[in-house]
Amino acid sequence: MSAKIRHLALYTEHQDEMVNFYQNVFGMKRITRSFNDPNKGHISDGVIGLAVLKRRPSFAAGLDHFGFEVDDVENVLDRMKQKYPKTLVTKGLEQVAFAVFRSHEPAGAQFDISWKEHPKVQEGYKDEGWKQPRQINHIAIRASEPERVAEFYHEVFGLKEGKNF
Amino acid sequence: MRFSVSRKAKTFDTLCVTDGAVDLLIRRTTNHSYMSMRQGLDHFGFAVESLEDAKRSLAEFAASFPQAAPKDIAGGVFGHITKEDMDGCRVGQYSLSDPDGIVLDLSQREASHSA
Repeated sequence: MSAKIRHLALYTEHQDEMVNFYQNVFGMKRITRSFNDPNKGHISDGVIGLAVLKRRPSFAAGLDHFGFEVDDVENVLDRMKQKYPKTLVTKGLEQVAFAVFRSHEPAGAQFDISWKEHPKVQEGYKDEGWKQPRQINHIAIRASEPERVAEFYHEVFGLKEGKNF
Repeated sequence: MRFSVSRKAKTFDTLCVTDGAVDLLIRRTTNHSYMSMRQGLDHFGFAVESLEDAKRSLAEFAASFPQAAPKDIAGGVFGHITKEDMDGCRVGQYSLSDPDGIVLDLSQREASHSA
């Protein structure tokens, strides 16, 4: 089983300023075109596609979710069902790049699950990506029980133990 | 891997799992600040080729686009608490916020991992 973190999304009232910031300072490049505006879309550092989404009613501004590209989605969903039966899974919205399924972990952080063969995985998300001098190297989550959350990502997505501090 | 049964792991304030390229840091909630009490996504961070060059890029961006200049996380009533909280990230070496106030941090890439 292979799972890679390939996506991060935030909501903002200032889409253009935010995209300008991440492109100018970190060298991120556009990899998708929005279904309703070809001048907008996700930007990438070569590994992670960042969705800078316009904030809508009921959505708070800020970091919203991240996402995994997996090679065996049935295996991932089976693991969640067996080991974490209370976990909710829903389908992603139509026309939204990358988001095939949405779920969450024990601390409540939400993530998309996707795979390359799915039609919603478009344009730059299909590519292997590239290396560049400034790239996202970590995403931090808060949890009252970090052990449970680490176990979840290991059991469900096969993430390996990293450096413990 | 059994974080839940490792006595040693229970003493860590941050655990890390990784896909080999991107780390998920799982930080224990604390009552140090409102931010650190909240479960869920906390912040993200970039590895950069040079902290000094990245800081220069930030300054140049702020000069060119003052309306979108990154905010000072240490400002305001809660600023020093937010900064302390971000300083507690075991990876980040320099913390800031983006134009919308989302906190992020930078760490200098190790020479062996240079892009």
